Amino acid sequence: MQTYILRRLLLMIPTFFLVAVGIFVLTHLMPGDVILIQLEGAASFTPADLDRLRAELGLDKPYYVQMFDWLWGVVRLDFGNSLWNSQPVAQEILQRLPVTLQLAIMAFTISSILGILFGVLAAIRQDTIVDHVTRIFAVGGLSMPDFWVGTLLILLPLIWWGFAFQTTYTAPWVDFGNNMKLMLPASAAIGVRASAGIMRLTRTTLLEVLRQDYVRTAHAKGLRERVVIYRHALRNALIPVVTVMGAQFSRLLGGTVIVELLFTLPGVGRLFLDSINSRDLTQVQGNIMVIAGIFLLMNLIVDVSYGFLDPRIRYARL
Amino acid sequence: MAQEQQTPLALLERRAKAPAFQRIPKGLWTFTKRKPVGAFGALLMLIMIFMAGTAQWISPYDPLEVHPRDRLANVWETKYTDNPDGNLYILGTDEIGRDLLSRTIYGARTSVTIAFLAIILGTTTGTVIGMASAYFGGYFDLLIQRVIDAMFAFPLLIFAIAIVSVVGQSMFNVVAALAIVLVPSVSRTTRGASLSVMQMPYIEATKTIGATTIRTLALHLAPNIMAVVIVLASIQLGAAIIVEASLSFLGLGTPPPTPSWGAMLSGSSRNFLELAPHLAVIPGVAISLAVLGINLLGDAIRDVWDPRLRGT
Repeated sequence: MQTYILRRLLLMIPTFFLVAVGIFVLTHLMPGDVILIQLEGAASFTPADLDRLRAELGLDKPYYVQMFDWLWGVVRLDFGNSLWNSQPVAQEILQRLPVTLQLAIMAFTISSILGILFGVLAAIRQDTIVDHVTRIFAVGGLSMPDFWVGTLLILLPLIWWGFAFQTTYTAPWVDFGNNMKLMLPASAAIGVRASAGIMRLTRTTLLEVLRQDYVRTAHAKGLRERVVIYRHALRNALIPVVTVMGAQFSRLLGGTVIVELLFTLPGVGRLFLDSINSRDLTQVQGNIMVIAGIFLLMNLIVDVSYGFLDPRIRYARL
Repeated sequence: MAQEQQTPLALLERRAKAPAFQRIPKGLWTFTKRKPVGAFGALLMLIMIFMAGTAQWISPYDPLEVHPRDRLANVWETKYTDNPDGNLYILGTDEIGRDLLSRTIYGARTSVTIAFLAIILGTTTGTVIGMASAYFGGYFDLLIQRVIDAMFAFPLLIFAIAIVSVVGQSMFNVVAALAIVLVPSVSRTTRGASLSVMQMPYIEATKTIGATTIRTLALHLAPNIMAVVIVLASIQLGAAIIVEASLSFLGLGTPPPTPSWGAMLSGSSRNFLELAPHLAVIPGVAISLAVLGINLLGDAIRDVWDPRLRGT
């Protein structure tokens, strides 16, 4: 098991390196000049001013030096300073990360609980009304874009009951109730929709597993229905589901960008959009790096939990 | 001459050689009977393609034409302010008086064009990379797979946003961005499929008789992974439409004034949603029905052609 985890960790190093290089190349291909955007309001400036500002921000160095600085910074978790307010990028992200993580984790929890619960229900009550309703919900849910679900979630209560959601964000440790009033609908907007995929997969795999011989044996030796399903069938059915849940987390992270915009949450996704608009390259770099980092970490967790769920993988992939 | 034998094989051969105008409708009918839900999906998709293809003839107004005095008309409302005979707005108008039905129909054109081009481009590139990776193996494979891993680390939408902001907004750039975003998953799946086909004796035989690499890849490997590729493409099509709409919603899709479903839900129209909810409902319904149709059809195609892909 340790060798397996170690191997996974080692494989992540080249991926991390490529991600960092990729982000650098991508952001430096971006058109538009932050200096010119910054000087837009200035009364007058000379070419000398431009050069001075460029030197101050370190933009006059050759690209390979800038790239090395960036890579070395990533290793030390120092993403440089924002080109706009000279604040450390990492600090700004760290301030906003709790919002995005809370959103993603809440959405993830909602989608996993709903997905697995209704997936199991649909499988054990196959071809009943429960099954049909879940299937319609799943297929419909997969077809609706996040931003539309979010818009409807804000709009419909407003039209029907004149009820408007809170628009100012409060940190959960300041006022938990107020925080939930905004975060619950926001995470539901992505979570409920994301549950559709998990629901479908849980149903299919559980149905397959329920037809296996060992499930019949479990029934035959007189185990209760609940024990057969939860102890014997579900544990084996969940393996592909866990893989998909890992990939789902990345979808949720992408979804947070839109939901943060809709519900005016001060998260990393908003920061990402804002910094793209202001051509704050270091901020953009840092943001994408953090999002990609979270995702890679999540993949690692999924791979490792795979090993715990399925002993065969532990031994086979050493 | 010997009398023709009515063996089962001969019957099968004769059936296979039936002319296309008999075989194709018959096949479609069988598909409809076996997969009615899939056929419904196909119908939705056909409607969308029809709207996209005939937009300039079937839409009642020019999608960009502004009727300032007919702003925010309701669904199925006739306004007499602009035209004494009355202008009927079947799906109402938006905040500057553009006909919503016409914009929805033209929006189908934008969505269909971008999504299909992106799928064709992305799937082809991904398939070529996946096949090459499986065929050459070794360090080449290792390197390509690490790059694909790195590409997988970016959430779809964030990756697309980053690319569009680098290359700038235009219809072609959105297509390119979507295509690049689709490459990792396509190439990973086709690599897997190629690896199993490579084990087949006929690939070895092809190499033995001295076929070139290109010939082996194009004539022997590619046709045998086609089922996987087509199933994958039909599943990804829905995702492509959703990402395109999300980009437009964020103001990073095809630049205005081109009508696009995502953009219709954003921008200044958001200020009028409470007053005119149909502005929010109609484009959303259009996107959802389009993606629903694609998903239903994709599921059916997958069940018929390649049940192994279930759950991807």
